Amino acid sequence: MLFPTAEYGIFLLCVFAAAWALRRHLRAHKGLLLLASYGFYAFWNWRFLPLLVGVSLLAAGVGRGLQLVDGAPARKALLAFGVTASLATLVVFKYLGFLASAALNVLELTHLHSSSARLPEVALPVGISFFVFHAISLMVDAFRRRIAVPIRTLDALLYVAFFPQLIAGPILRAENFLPQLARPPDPESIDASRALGLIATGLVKKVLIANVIAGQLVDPVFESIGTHSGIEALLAIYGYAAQIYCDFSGYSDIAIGSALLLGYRLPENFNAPYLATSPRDFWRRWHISLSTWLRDYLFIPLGGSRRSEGRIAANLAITMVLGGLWHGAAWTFVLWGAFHAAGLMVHRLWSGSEAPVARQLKAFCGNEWVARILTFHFVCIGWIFFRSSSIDAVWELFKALGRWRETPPLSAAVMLALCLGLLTQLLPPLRRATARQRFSRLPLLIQGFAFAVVVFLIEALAPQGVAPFIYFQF
Amino acid sequence: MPSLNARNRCQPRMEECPLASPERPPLLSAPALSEGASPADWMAPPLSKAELVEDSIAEAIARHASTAPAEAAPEKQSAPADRTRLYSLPEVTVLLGAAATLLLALESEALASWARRMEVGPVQSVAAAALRAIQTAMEPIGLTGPRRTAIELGNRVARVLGAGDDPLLADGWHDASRSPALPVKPLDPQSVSARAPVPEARPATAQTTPDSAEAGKALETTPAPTRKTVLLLGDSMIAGSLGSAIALSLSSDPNQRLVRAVQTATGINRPDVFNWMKVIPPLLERENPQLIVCSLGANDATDIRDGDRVLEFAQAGWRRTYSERVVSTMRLLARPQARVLWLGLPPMRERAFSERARYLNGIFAQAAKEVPQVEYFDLETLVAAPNGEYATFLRNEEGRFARMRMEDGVHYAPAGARWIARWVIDWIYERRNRLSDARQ
Repeated sequence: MLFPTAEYGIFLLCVFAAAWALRRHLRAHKGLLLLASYGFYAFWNWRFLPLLVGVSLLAAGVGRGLQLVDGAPARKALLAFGVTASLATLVVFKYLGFLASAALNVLELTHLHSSSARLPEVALPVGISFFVFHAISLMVDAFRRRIAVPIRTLDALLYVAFFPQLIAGPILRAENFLPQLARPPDPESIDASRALGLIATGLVKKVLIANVIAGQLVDPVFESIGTHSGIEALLAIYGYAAQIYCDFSGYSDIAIGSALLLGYRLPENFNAPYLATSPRDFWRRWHISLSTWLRDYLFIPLGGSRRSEGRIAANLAITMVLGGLWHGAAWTFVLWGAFHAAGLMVHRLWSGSEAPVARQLKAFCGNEWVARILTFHFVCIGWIFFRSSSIDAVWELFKALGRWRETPPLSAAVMLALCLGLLTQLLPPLRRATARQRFSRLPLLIQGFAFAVVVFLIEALAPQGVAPFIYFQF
Repeated sequence: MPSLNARNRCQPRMEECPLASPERPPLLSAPALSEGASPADWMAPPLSKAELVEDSIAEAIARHASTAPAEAAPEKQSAPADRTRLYSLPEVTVLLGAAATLLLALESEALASWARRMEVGPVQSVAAAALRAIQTAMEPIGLTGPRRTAIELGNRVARVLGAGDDPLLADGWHDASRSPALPVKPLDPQSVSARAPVPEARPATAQTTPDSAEAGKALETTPAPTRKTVLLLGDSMIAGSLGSAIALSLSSDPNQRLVRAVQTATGINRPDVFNWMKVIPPLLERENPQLIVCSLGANDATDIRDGDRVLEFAQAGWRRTYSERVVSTMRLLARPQARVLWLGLPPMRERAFSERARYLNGIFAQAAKEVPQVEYFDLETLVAAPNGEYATFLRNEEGRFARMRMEDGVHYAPAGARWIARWVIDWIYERRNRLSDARQ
């Protein structure tokens, strides 16, 4: 069930009505949300529902156990069991074929092994990367005693499966979300204007910007780069930067807006990432719920920065490479993570350098917009790895950048969508808040009609068909 | 009309904090104060302050939560924009009810179309009947007009901006209101398949390689009969990586003109949703292809609605109706001087779907025997494990394991598409030479 569809609109309205009707019966309220979430998931593929329930029950059991057990060795063993089982699930369902094919290719190249055996066939459950990370967050937060409320099975199941964020985040933290489930949502303080604003914004980003750029610029170029010129390749890279931002942040907007209508708050996932002035700043602004998850559950347990420079670099590389691999079982994602790790390390060294050349360059790059443009292009180079279907394709695209030939004129619609996709980030938060405030002062019926007209225009102007969100594949 | 709730108006909101400059923004939304949590609950970093200070590399990944000025003093925010109204449940119910009612009226035509496209079954019957009734009720009072006007306006703007769907293909959708009212004429390939990857979507001269500028000039003056137009037609199985792989292989040949007419989520058994039989004749008239590669059927393993009757998949009535439609489609494609390659369906990961695909392949193979210029291309063994079953990873031309199928277990991954494209290209050149020989 994709967000920009009639199915989801009807589903959300039904869940809204039923969930609020049951608000005085907390268990029934949460039970309904859980059933709705499982229904939402089963709409994709019901066969993976037992896996989702199983991972959730494991996290609930281990989390509750960690709250009840006192002995440090027992708690560590319990946590290790829970995290290992969760990660093993992720590896089996997401990476087994990839790892097995890579291993066999290496063995055959080195003449150690030659096989006619088939590789294991495992289907990828939608959203597995997200719900496994939710489960790990629950167990680790319980281990760290950061969850202020007792972990109940129903709450844990709902925390993992809550439908607005189930397929592609934002990745919730148990310590933040479970307390929200401890009491019924307040029917007197629903942030409806923000919710509707986010849903409308998300729809525009996804339907009118990301889909247009993808269909008419990015996909054609990346799928047959050999037939395109350097200018087209360059525009496709910029186009993909705009597309993936609008696609993923659009999804996050709709997810957050949907949860707000139900009285729950999800964390923000983006904050104008292309205005970042350094690779470090970029990771403060891009997919924030993932970057903070990696920081708190991987980088810091590895030792963080309280080690030697070499160890810090290694920790950073491990974190970012695994973060890249989290996105998909392909070498291109590994390279993408390594590329960002290198960028972060270079930036770290650069920031601390007092060499005269570095000081002069810093003075030049100290200009905010110079730093932003440099960072944006660094990120864009990373997107080449991220979007390409293979390492060969990455190389082809770099080669294409130097290919000068006649370039057919790009349609103004695509250029407009590309510019809008990038410029949406320049809208200051304060301006958005002011617009929302003005909207909320209108009579209620007018607010409802205005929202309906916006959705109506989006539907009428949208290209036919619905493209899935990029992050659904992760 | 309910007025603003004074209590709610005074509640500060973190994301609207004037201190939230782009450099140090509060990146997590604050929980509602009424929930009893302080803003710091969301904003507080999971580590202690001392840990964060010490752990400077944490910044290297993301220390977005350490926005001390913003989180420390939310009460001090006094700009008007900091106060956002929070709504009561009755207010939100009225608001959403108004929005849903107006949308139901304005979108009745689109919703009826959506219901028609649902999989054939009792749910679809009920939804289609209900939404058709609403649409019928809305039409006399003019509430379906705004959508048509908006679409027409959108089409005009799209044309001005050089975008928009190919009118001919758009005309195949039952919801014809989306079809721009343009005359059918030889179209620049750029607008063919606007919603699908269009590497060929460029003037023919632009398909020449950079070092074959001379060839490009020659192309413009080459007599038309020596150039062959290859048409790729079908659903998502040929819209994505396979179509791109074929386009890439043909891109260096100035004597080939490639046109892709693809519509995802379409097939032969639901003309009530998209009607290829309506699209194909004018498409062939316009493009005049000599070689056609067609891939249809992946969306056809469903029941058929025939008037008021529902024909169940693989039942005698279904088989008869579907076979007739396949043969009719092949006959439409097989014009004189044209050769058609009909791609079969590969094994699918889901066993039930795979069996249905095999059943459809039997119909395609049988139908191809009835139409002389059509050849059936069996993919059941070409992209399958040695035992004929589905496999995601298979050995490529270099003998290494490569991902041949996408994660969905249906579509081709780039390596799989390249593998199939090699055979398709061989067919194109072989048939092209035969056509040339026959002409001479």
